[in-house]
Amino acid sequence: MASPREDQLAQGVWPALRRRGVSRREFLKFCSVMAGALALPHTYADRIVQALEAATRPAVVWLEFQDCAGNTESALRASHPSITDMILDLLSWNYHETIMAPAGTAAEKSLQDTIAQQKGQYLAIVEGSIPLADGGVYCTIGGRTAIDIAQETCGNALATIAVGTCAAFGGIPAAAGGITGAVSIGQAVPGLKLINLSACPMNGANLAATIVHYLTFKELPATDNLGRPLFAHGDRIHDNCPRRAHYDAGQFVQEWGDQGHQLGWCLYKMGCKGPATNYNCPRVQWNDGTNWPIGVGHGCVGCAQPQFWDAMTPFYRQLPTVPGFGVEVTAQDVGIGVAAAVGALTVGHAVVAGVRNARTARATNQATAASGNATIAVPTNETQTTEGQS
Amino acid sequence: MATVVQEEPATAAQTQRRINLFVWELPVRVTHWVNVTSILILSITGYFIASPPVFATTTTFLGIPGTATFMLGTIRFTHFVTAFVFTISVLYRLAWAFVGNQYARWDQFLPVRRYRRQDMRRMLRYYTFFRREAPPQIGHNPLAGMAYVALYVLFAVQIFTGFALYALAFRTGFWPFAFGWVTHLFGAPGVRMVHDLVMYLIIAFTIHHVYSAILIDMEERSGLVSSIVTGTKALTPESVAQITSQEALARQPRARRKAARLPRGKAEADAGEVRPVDGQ
Amino acid sequence: MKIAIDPVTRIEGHLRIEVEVQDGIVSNAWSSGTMFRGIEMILRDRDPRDAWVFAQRICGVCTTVHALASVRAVENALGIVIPDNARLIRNLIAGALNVQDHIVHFYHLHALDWVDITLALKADPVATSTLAQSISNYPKSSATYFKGVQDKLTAFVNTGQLGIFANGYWGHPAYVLPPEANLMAVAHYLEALDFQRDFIRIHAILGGKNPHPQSYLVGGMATAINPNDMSTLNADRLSLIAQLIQRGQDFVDQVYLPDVLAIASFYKDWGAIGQGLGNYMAYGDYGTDTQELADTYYLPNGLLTNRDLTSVADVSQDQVAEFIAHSWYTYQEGDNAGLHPYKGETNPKYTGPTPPFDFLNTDSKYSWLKSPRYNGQAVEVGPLARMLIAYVRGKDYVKTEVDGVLKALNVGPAALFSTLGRVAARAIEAKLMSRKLSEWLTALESNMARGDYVIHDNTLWDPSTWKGEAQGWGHHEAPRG
Repeated sequence: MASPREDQLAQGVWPALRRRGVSRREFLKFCSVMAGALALPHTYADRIVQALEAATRPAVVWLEFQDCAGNTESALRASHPSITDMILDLLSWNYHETIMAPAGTAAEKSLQDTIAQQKGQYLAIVEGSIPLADGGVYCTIGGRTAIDIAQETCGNALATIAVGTCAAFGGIPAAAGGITGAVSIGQAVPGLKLINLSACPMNGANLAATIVHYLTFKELPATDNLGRPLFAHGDRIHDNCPRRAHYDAGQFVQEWGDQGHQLGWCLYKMGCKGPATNYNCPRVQWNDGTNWPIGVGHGCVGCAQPQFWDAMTPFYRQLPTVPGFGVEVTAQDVGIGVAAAVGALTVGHAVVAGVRNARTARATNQATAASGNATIAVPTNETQTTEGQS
Repeated sequence: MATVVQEEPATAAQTQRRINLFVWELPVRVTHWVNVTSILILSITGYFIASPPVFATTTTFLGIPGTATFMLGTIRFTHFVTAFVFTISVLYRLAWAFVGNQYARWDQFLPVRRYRRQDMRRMLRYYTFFRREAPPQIGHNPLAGMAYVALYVLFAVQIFTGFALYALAFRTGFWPFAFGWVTHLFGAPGVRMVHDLVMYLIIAFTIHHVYSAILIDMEERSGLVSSIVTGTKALTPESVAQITSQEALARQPRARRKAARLPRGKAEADAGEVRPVDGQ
Repeated sequence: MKIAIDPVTRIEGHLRIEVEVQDGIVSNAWSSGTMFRGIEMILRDRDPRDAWVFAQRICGVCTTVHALASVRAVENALGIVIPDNARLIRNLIAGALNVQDHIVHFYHLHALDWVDITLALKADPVATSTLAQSISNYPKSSATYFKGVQDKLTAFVNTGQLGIFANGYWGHPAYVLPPEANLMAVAHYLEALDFQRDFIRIHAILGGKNPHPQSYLVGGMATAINPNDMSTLNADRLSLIAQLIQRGQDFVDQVYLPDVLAIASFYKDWGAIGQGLGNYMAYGDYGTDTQELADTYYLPNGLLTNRDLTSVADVSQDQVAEFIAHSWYTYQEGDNAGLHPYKGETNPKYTGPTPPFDFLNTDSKYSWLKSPRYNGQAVEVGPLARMLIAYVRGKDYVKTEVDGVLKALNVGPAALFSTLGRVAARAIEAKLMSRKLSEWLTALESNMARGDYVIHDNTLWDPSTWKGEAQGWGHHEAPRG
């Protein structure tokens, strides 16, 4: 006898959408939009249609550890598919503290049921870093440590999606000054089948695309060497930036609100980290393609990169300050200082050497004058050959 | 191989008979000047990449309309092309350290021989005015050799960080594979900061290098400065004799070398002010 | 008997409640924050211009509020007065969050405590339509529409995979809404999911993205203004903001407020539950000039003590202190001290039970949260506090709305000191803020019409212009308090 779940598996996504009143035309449009989001050729739209029509409704559990729920909120901003689509039609969204109905033991039951009944079949989504210091006391849920929950939940999952830079790379709790021993899910539970959707927060559109990619192609998307999907992190912001032409032309914003700022010029000199950051911000943009940080006139802070809280700060300077020097001192200042110091030493040396040489010459002249008999060596006309070694 | 060459014309100040020696082979001179040119171009373009010129309201350069529409793009392209030339030159020079003549070899740079370590101390005393004369050299003096090792370390850092930054533009393949971990580990701005800083260290080295070359040339009257163009240096027979005997000694088996060597203290004293250079 | 509720869901952060129950009555309760990141420690020795980016990450649900308070603190320390356009843009961002957050709070976080979604399956769509049309002129109110929602819900429930709704408290007698009200609420739960996503695009236009908008600057905003450029705030962007504000006003008026009143009318007993501390405090916010002077605040500053609505005191930041007697921290001068944030210390020291544990040592220290006090006493902040203080301060625009709600529910002012009062206060504030958004947008447009595109004061941007050491404080009335 087929269980309700198996019935659902047989039904697929398209029938589910049809039940929700989505027309065939809207569905096809959605598929081609998805193909666009995944940067696929349009012919793939047909493949997505077929895949979604036959897709199952896999279970998802969303874990929150040292987080701010920003990625949860970002997931709520996804539009194709929307969170409604994902929760009601595409997936069985079984556990997610910020939005789930039950609390306490009833909530824990939702998680435990999923782990027990769908071992190796569900997706684990992890938001927030995992503190390992001092026995994990910096994050507990239901009296259990984050690492304890992560090991059980992710260890039994089909695959794990780390959402946000905290889960993907440690993020802000792992930044310099933090004492909680925060690490990414990949470091906390090694050996997972893992995909890192970094950025602070990750763009909900990329989570939606990752899920559709998984449902469509039955595999996680291809990743870069940091485990981030190429469709979202393959290219550098700088290389896709609409302001790139201004960079190449040497047209830069030099003060906030100056003429260049009002003309949408390049923010490189204001500390923009677009040249160091791989993300699809300029292509997909945020909140249904409405805008993105560089689009509004503020530089990129490099939030999709590992350790960006330390590696990309100060945010408003092109380069970090040189360790050991004050916060006012740039690498250029230090470099010019070193070169100038060497120059000064050189000049000093030259002066001393010059004085000494003059003295020597005077002494020689005096000696020569005293002898009254100039000794001038006779240049030879001989040509000598010296054997050199090779 | 060696050689010689021509006589040295006498001048009033230069009363000593000179022997012209062929020291710097063509690859040494070529890589030197390729490095000089590359460093100059890389420093200028690099400076503009770090602190881009702002063409405030126009795309005009030197009054020609439209010429500045790709100004920084051109600067970066130039920087990249020159970087490859520079890298090849540095690698070629490193290889030549194993196949070139005596004065190009690796052991000119690392103080593996005792007499060169002694010379290094003498050179240091000379530079700090504790000693009047620099010990005579045909190739690099040992202190300079060490400075060049340091310089090549700077080159290595510069090439490495440069390629790490270059790799940022690629999504997959060789560059991210070979260098992606650098920017991921330290962050691209940090790598840029090192790249920027090392440029100034190389400039600082250049200041010192040019000054030392002129200083020693003035001391030795050996044509040191011009030697990097012509390849030949003019040295006094005494200097040559002293160097050749040191070298010959160094080449002998260890036992004989030990026997022939003067007691350490005496050698130190000897090495000092005694040696006549100006013929007096 | 002791019970632990952990995780407390449908909130941001990790909250644990332990309660002592005697004869079915809660006799004592402890709340514990069970997660610590140490952002105060991570912020040390950083460029103060970067601080707001870090501070913003304290919360991703009330995103932007900590950024605003942080950037104001640095401006206060440096003595920077931001340009008028920057003030208006900040108000638009904060006000938009206020509207969006109250709606999300009501529908997606709080409503599942009032609405039994399984009962919605039993509703009659025609009766639901009648109910909806009797309380609002919202266009989506036909029987067909509610039938569609119900069918969708039925199909979803029939899959047996209830997802986030699984293991809910469905069928509990505390749910008192009739099936039709439940169906209407479920329909609006789904509507609100679409609404919040659309409406918050105001943040993307002015802040680049949401969550965590990225256009704050110490000294103003980075939101470039130029009506004659394609990459800046121009007429196209302004009209999109205007349209979204209109959508927000419509949703508040036609969906949110009517739903609050309709649902509240079934839960009037909650007008006597959840009275809380009885002390209400607001710093106030949304001044009419860039000086951010307290007397120009749209939502005024004040302190009400002991539910006394006859007198209101002024609030000053220097009376704020943080206590750690029951938190896992130590203070150099002893753990019973209260420190003003200027002198604040963050020295974590966990003394709780070794995980996994069943209960915390609630007799000693039991939370990662510090306890902020005003003048030594615990106070309630947030929408109810703001509305009460504005009411007592005689702000007509608040008075009218509050009296209107009390009249509609046929309850006295005492009902405000309750869970129901907080729900109502959020809705009233959302309505007021949705109107203020239009005013701020108009003001911004008239500045632009005069050719004023100034968004930032550059004079103290460069750290070399700063003199020695400085300290400052910033504040913001976050939507939830």
